[in-house]
Amino acid sequence: MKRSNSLRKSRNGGIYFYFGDHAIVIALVVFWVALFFTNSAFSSFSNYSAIIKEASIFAVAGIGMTFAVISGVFDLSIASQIALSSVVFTAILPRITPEIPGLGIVLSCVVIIIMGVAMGLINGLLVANLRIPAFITTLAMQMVYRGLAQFVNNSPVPISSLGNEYRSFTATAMEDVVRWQVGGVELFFGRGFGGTRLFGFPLFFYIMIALALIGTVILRKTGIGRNILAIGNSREAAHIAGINVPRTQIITFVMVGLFTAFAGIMMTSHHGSSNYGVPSGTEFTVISAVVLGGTALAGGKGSILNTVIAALFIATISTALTGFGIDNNIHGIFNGAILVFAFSINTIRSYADDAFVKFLANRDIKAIANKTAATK
Amino acid sequence: MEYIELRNIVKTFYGVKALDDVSLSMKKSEVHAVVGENGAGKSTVMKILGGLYFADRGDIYIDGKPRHINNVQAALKNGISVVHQELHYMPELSVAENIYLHDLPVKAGFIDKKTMNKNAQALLDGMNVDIKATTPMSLLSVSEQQMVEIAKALSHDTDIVIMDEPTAALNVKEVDALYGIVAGLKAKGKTVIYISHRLKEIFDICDRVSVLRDGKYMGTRNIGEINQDQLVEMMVGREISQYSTTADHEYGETVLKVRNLTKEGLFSDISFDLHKGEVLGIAGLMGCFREDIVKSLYGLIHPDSGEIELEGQTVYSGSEGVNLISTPRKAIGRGIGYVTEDRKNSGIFALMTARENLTISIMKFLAKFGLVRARSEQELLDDYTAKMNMKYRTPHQRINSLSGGNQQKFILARTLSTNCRVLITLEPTRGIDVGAKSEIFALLEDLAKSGVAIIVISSELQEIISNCHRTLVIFQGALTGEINKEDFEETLIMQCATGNEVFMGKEADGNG
Repeated sequence: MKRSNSLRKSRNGGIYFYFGDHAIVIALVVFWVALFFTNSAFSSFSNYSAIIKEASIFAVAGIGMTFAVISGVFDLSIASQIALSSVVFTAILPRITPEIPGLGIVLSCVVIIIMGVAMGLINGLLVANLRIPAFITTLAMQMVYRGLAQFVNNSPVPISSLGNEYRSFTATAMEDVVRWQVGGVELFFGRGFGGTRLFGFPLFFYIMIALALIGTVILRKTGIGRNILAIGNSREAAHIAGINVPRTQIITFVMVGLFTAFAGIMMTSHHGSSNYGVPSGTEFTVISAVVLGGTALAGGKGSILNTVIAALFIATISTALTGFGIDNNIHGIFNGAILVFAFSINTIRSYADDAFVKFLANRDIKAIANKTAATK
Repeated sequence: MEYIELRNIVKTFYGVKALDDVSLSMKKSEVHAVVGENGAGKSTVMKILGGLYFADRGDIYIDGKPRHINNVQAALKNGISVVHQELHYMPELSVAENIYLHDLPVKAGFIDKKTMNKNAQALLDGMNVDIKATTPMSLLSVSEQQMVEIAKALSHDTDIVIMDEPTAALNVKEVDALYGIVAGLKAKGKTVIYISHRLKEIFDICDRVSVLRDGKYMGTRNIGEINQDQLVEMMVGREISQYSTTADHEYGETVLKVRNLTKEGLFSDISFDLHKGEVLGIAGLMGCFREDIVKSLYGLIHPDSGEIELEGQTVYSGSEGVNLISTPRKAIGRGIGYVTEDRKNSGIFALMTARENLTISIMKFLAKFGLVRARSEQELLDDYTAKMNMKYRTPHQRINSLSGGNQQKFILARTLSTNCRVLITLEPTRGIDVGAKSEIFALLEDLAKSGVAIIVISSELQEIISNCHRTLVIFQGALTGEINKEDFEETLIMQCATGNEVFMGKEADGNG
C-alpha cells in the first residue's frame, strides 16, 4: 500500500507523480462533486450509498479480475461462475438445516467458495497445462459453467415463472433466512438486505473494503502476488528468475475463482434469489473497471483499490444516466463508450509514462555527460 | 573514381555513439568488404545506406550526386538493395510470392501467377540453387530461406547490393553458390558491399576491405596488400585497458565439469572445467552459439548428450537420462545463478519496484506465514545497496526509471541473493556506461575472490582479457581455443573466433 504513494521525491529534491496510476481517483471525486451540484437526486447521501451497493458486487469480482489482468490474461467465465454459484447456493441452502441458526448460511458460503476455487483451478489447469490461450479457455468454460447452472436449476425457464415447488429452493427460502439477525444487525442475506447498514453505510461496502485490502496484501505482500506481477511483466524473466510460471498461472485463476465466489454470494443475497441468468457481458463491465482503474492491459502493474474506485465510477455513470432521465434502453451505448474510453486511456497513459521515463533517462544521460565533461 | 561515398556519418542511439564520423567509399563494380568486431558499427552503416536508419549527421553521395535516403523505398529508388542478416518472410506464401511481394506482376487486376513463378524460377536457377519457386516458404530449411532472401534482393536488379552476413546460415555448398552470385553481379558491373565475420570469405571474394572499430573508420586496404593477421589487428587495435581489475588471484578446485556437451544444430562436443574462484571468459562472434552453451547449464536449453558434473555430483547425463538442472528453478536450487544478456525483456520486471525486483527470487525465504517481512526485504536491499553502490531515489521506484547500470546491478544482486556458487553472466556490461562497467567487473572480481565460480560471456574482448583467468573461444558451436591469461591476446582470440585453422588447437586442451 505504501507503493500507491503517488508523490515521489526525485533525486534533486523535486517532486514527481505517476499521474496515470491515480487518474481514476481524481475522476471519481470530480464526477461526484459535479453531480452533487447539478442533479438534485445526487444531493442526498442515500443515493451515494445506493451506488456503493451496486458497485460493490462488480468491485469484488474486479478484485479477482485484477489478478488476471495483471498476469496478462482475461477470465471471460466469471459471469457464468457467478450464475453457477448463485444457483447452487440457493439449491443447497434450504437443505442444510443445522441446529445453530445461521450455520447453514456459513456452510453454504464455504461450499460456494470451494466451488469458486475449483472453477478457477479448472481454468488455470487448462491454460497452464494444455497451453490453450486463456481467452479461448475461459470463453469455452463460460459456456460450460452456464450450462451447468441451467442444469442445476433444472429448467431454462426464468425463475419468476417457476412453480411454487421450485420457488421453495429459491426466493422463498431466502426470505426465511433473512430473519436471522446478529446483535440487532440483520445479516446480509435475502431480499431484506437493502436496509442493512452499519454506521450509515451498506454492509456490502465493508465487505468490499475488507476484500480489497486482503487482495492488496496478497498482491503486494505475498510471494504469490509478486509472482503474478512478475509473470505479467515478463514470463521469460520470471522463468529465468526461478518462478514456476505454470503454477503461478494456475494460482491466478484460483484467485479469480475465489473473489468471484464472494461476488456470487453477494449478488445472490442482493437479489434474494438464484440467478442463473446473470447477464453475460458482466465480465466486460468488470474488465472495464479493472482497466479504468489503471491496471495495464498487457499486464505487469495494477492496483486493486483503483479497481474498486473504477467500479464505483462505472456505477455512478449508470445511476447518473437514470438520474438525468436517459432511457434505460440506450444505456448500452454509454457502457460501450466507457469500455472504449477505458481501453484507450490506457494507451494514452502508457504514452505519458513512457515519455516521462524517457525524459528521466535523457536527463540522466545529460547529467552523466556533464559530469564527465566536468572531470575532464 | 569513387561510386558510393558516405561522408562524416554520425549515428547515436540513446546517447551512445554507434557511428562517429565515419567516411567510407566504394568503387563501381567492386566487391567491397566491411569488417569489424561485434558492435563496431558495420550493420548500422549498412542500415543507413539501406534506408532503415537515418543518420544524425553526414551525407551520402552516389555517382557524384547527394542522395536523401530516409526509407527502404528511397534506397531502392537510388539503386540499393539489402540482404538482411535477419530473415523476414511470410511462411505461408510460396517462394515466388515472397520474392515478388514488393511488386507482384498483375494481369487484368489479378496476380499473374504464371509470370511470377516463371520469373522467380529463372532467378533461382540463375543463382544455381535447387529451390522450386512454388514451394511454400515454411517448408524450406533455414539456409534455403536465406538464399530466397538473397533472391529477393536480387529481384530488384539494383546497381548496389548490400549483403549483411549472408553466409551466417549457409552450408558449404550454398556458400559456393553465393560466391558464384557475387562474381556474377561483379561481372554485370554491379557493386557489392559484403559484411562477414568469416575472414576467409573476404579474402576469397572481395576486392577491397574497410575496417570499422568502435564506430570509427580505421582504413581501407586492397585485399592483395593485406593478410589475415594484419586485418585482425586493424579490427581489434591496441588500446590501453579501460578496466583496472585483473584476475590475478589463485583459483581453487573444480566446481563444474562439462564433458562432450552437444545440442544438435547449436553446439557440439563442448568440454571444459570451471574452478572455485575462477573467472572464465567465453568469447566468440555473434551467431557462434556461445550463449546456448551456458543456457544449457541453467535449464534454458536441454542438451542432447554429454555430461555436467556440479560439485562432484552428476547433474546432467545424456546417456543416463539424468537432468537435475532441467529448469532455472532447479538450477538455482543447485547453486547456479544466471544473468541474462537481454536485460529489458528477460531481466527486469519493468513495472515493478526496484525492491520487488531484487527480492523476487527468494520470496519464500523472506516470508513469514506467507507475508513478506518488509523489514527483511529492506535489510536485504540496504545490504546490496551498500555492497554494490546502487543508486535509486526510493525503494518503491519502478526499476525501468533507473539507469541501465543500476538495473544491471539489481539483476546481479537478485541472482546473488540466491547464494549461487556458480555465476553465469551474459554480456554483463551491455548498454551501460563506462563507470558502471568497471564497477560491475570489480564486483565480479570480489565475488570470485570470495569463492564464486564465474562464467563471463562478452562481445568486448578487452573485458575478457582484463578480467578473466582463462577464455574459451567458440566458433560455429565448437570449442576452437582455450587460452590462459598469460597468453591472452586479442588477435589470438579473434583468429580462433573466426575459425583460422592455423591457430585453432594450438592451445593445450586443458581437460585434465
